Amino acid sequence: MAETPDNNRGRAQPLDAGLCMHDLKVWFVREVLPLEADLMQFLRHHGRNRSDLNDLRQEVYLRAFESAHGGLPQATRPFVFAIARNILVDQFRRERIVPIDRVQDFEAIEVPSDEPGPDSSVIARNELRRLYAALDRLPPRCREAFVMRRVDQLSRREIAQRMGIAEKTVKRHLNEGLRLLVAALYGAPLDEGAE
Amino acid sequence: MMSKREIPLASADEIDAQGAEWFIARNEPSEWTDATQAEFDAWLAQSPKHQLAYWRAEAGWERAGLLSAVRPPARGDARARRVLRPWSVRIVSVAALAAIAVVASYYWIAGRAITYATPVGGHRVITLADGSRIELNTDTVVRLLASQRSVELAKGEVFFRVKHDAAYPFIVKAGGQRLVDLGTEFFVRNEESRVRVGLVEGRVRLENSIGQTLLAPGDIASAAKDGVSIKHNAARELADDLAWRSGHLVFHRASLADAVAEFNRYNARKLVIADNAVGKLTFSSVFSTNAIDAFARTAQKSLGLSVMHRGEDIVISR
Repeated sequence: MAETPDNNRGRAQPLDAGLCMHDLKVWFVREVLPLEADLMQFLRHHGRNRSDLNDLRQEVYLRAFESAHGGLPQATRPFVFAIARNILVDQFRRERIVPIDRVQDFEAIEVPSDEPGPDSSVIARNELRRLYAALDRLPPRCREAFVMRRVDQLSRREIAQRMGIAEKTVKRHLNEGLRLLVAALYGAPLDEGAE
Repeated sequence: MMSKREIPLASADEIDAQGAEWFIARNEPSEWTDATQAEFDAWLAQSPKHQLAYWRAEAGWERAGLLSAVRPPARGDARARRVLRPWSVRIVSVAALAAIAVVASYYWIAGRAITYATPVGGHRVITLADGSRIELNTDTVVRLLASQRSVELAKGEVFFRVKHDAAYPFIVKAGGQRLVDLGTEFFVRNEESRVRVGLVEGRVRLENSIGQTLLAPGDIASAAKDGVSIKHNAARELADDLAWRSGHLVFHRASLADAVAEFNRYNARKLVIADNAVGKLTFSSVFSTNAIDAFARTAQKSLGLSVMHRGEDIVISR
C-alpha cells in the first residue's frame, strides 16, 4: 500500500497474524489515540493554520488503520507520523501552491522520534489533571448532565428529572459533553495546565 | 488518493459528533432497538472513519471512568483496622476544621527556620535547594528548617515530591506524627484531630508515640494520637484527594455539609447550610475549588434547594 511508511515495511507482522477488529481496536485506542495531541501539533505546525485539521487527523487515522490491517507496526509513533507527513506532502503537491516560507518546512518535515514515556504515576497524575481540565471546559449544564451519567450512572430519565429538563435535552447535553470531552482529552497538548 | 475514499462523507467534526452520539445512544440499552442497531451498523459500514470515531468516543468515555472511580472500596479491598470516617465521602469536612487547628508550636519562628504560608484559596509551589518540591494547598503554614530536610506542617495540606538522600532522610512533622521519607511523593494533611497521609510513590515511614509503620504507594493513612488506620490500594481515592493540585474538588456521594465545608476551606466567601436535613443530602460532581456559585446553582437545580445571598455569603436551604 502506497501510504505505508517505508521505515515500517518489512517489519510488519505477516498477514496471517490473525488480526481481528478487536486487535485493531486495542491497538488504535492504546497506541494511536494517545498520540493525538502531538499529532495535532504536528499537523498544525506543518499544515498551516487550517480549518481542516480534524479532517487531516481523521485521514491519518484512516490510513494508519487500513495499513495496520496487514499487521501492526512495531513502533506506532514513527508509523503514524510518517503517514501524517505523507498526507501533508500529498496536499502540498495537490494544491501546487506552496508558500515560499513553506518550501523549507516541506523539505524538513521531520517525524518526532519515539520518546520514552513518563512513568505510571506521572501518567496517573496527568490523567486526572487532564480529565478535570477537560470537564472544566464543558458548558456547565453539559458537565452536570455528563457527570450524572458517567459518575452517578443515572439514567437519562433520572437526569432529566433532577435537572428539570426534557430527556431530549439531556441527550443533547450528553452527546455534546462526550464530543467535547474526547476532543479535550485527546487533542489538548499534554503539558496544558501543568504546574 | 484521499478523494478515492471520500465518498459523500460528513466533515470530520460531524463524524466526531456522530461517534459520540452513537456511543451515548448505545449506552442507553432500554432505548436500543433492532432498528437502531441496523441504523448503527449501516453508519459503521459507510466508512472506517466512522468506526474509528466511535472507538475514540468510547475510549474517551472509558477514560472519564476515572471520575467514577471515586467510590467506596469493594468489601475486602480495604484492610482498615479502624475506619475513622466513611470512605464514601471523598473530600471531607474534617479538613475544614484544619483552619482551627493551630498547633502551639505554630508561633515558633526560630531564626533557623523559614515559614511559608498560603492564604485561603492559595496554592504555592516551593522548590528546595536539593530539587525537592513542596506544594502548599489553601490556608497552609509550613516551617522549613535550615537543613531543608525537615518540614513542620503547622496547618493545612502539602504535597511533597522529595529527592531521596539516604544520608539525610526528609522528615515531615504534623500533629504529633512524624513521617520519614524514603524517596517519594506523598501528601500530608493536618486535620484537627488527626493527620491524613497519602503515598503516591516510593516509601514513607509513619512514626508516632505508639510505634511505626511503613506505607506503600496507594496507601492512605489516617493517624490520630491513639492509632493509625490505613487503607491500601487506594490509588484512585488518592488521586481525588490530590485534585486540588489542579484546582478541583471531587465529590462522590458526598453530603452537602461535607462539600460545603470543603469549599469553605478554599474560599473567603462562605457557603452556609440552613439546616441539618439539607446538609445530609448527597450528590456527586467535580468543581473548581472556587466555583461556589456553580455549586450553589447545582444544589438549586439538581437537588431543588433554594439559594439566597446574604452579603457575600450563600445560604442553601429547602
